[in-house]
Amino acid sequence: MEANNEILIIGPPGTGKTTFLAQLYGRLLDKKGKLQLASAPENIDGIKSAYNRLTDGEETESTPASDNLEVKIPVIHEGREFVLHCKDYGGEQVRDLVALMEYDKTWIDRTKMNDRWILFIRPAEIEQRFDLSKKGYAEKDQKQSNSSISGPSDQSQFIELVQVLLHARGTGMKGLIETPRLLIALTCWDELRTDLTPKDILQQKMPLFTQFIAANWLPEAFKIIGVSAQEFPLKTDEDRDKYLDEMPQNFGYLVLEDNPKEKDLTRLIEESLTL
Amino acid sequence: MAKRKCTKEGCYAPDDFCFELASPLHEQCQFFVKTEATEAPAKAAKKLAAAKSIPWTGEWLQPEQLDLLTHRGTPKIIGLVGSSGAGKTSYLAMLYSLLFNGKRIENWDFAGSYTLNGWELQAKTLQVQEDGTVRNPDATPSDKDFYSLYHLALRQDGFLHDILFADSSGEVFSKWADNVNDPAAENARWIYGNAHAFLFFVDCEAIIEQRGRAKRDIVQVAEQVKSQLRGRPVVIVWSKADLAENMRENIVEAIKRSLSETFPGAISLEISNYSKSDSDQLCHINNVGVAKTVLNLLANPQPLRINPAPIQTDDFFFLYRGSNGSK
Repeated sequence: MEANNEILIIGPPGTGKTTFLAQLYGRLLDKKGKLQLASAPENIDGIKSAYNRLTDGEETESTPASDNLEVKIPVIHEGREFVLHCKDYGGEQVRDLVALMEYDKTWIDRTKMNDRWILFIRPAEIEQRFDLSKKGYAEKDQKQSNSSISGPSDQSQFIELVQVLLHARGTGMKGLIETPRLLIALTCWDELRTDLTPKDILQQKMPLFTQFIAANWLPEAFKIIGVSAQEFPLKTDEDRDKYLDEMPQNFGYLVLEDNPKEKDLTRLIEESLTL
Repeated sequence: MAKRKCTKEGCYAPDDFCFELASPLHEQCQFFVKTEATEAPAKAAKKLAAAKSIPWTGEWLQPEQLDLLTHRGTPKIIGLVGSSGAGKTSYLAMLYSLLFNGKRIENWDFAGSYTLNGWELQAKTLQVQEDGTVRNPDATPSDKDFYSLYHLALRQDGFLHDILFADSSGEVFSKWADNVNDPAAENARWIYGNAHAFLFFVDCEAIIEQRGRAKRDIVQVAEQVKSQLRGRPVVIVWSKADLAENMRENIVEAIKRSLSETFPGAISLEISNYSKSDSDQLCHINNVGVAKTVLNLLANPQPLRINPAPIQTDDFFFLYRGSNGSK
């Protein structure tokens, strides 16, 4: 089945959706990447504030929960012109899908109309569990102390999220999934300080989720890559100066199979389009 | 979103036609409009308009919820049988924890679950706390209406299988073993009637503590499981096997002999929640091995061998074997 070129970026709060879109826009303006700006978008309201903040050497702010903004950017990819619909929304919406176990019309339309999904996961923030299957031996606590026990694990939340989104789209799991094509982007890659591949990192941080994706998608219909949209945090004046001196479009990279430090961020879109 | 209801008695608008106007235009009805004021606007702020709820909640499933799965095949139910404290729920907790941390059931790929919260809740009992201890899992409620079905969608050779682990309290099973018609053992009866395979738990710790008495309970439950088994597979699970060396040999022998007579050819596996290293035979390999063994038995059912009963009659109607038979 032919998949359309509509892309949906899915990510819980703080996974870097807005930062990536702002950086992507900078690269498109630069016209050096695989994807280039064809003509100026009518408005860039959705990413303007993030784009401006990065230009000032500031970190982007989180998108308000109820925001649903869309920026339509006309782009050229390999001689073909089309419109890239960049949807930015508050990541809380994604968290609520699983927390409330319900979705609204917006999300039904989003999941149905976009045949290419990009799932943003921030691996450095995935909480690791320490239990008997890892530790080996522990004394039983006879008092049944109710010391603070955290909620559901991040790993189970991501599995549930994908199950919910597939349900909203009406995609069954009886057969292997071809559409939606799934690109898993491990964001804030710089935080990991690792030489491992994105696939290894996902397996290490969320083995059950990795198994879940591989068991349900056709091998050629999903891919795992790494993204560092910002390259480093903008916490010190020194780092901010770098952004002011050399400009944001010179920072950020992708971790791809053929290049572990690809500076052309537009290739993330290309990777999704060629799945 | 708070659902609006009609104030008029006997009217079920908006679920049904308006009682007053006998039409779907309940919005125009005077009684319906009145209720509008009682709407709670605060709730609408978080929950979005026209939200569609998802048919599963993540909590364990009840028997009446199985239609959630039947559209894509027949779910296979694995019944966990064993006395109270034998480690049935702990086994499920350990199985999920092992999968969670990267162990795999060979040839059976995890393809999702509608009871993730249920699994998570049990797995938490194995989490090591800050003071280095683990919580004791709470006993499964012995309420006769208490069902907990844990779902796993597993893909084997490209085919999706829905597997449900049916857990209930051991107490209920003991009651059922003494009297299958005990009104307090409704869930045990349901599991026994509907399961496609069984995990039969033998508690090593109980054998150490209760010695010969433990055998009596095990044999009683085993005989009851056998009575209407109809060829369904049984896997014998010796739980808390890290303590196995403390069991009296003669009692172990007697139980083993009895079980091998009751379930001829059944596979036995020893499991434990404690491990010396990764991977540990009792903990890492055998806990997953129990799942693998029972799943493989479910996927490759043993053919039923039916011996044709010789016909003892002189009636020509029953004796007729067709033109071939007469040759």
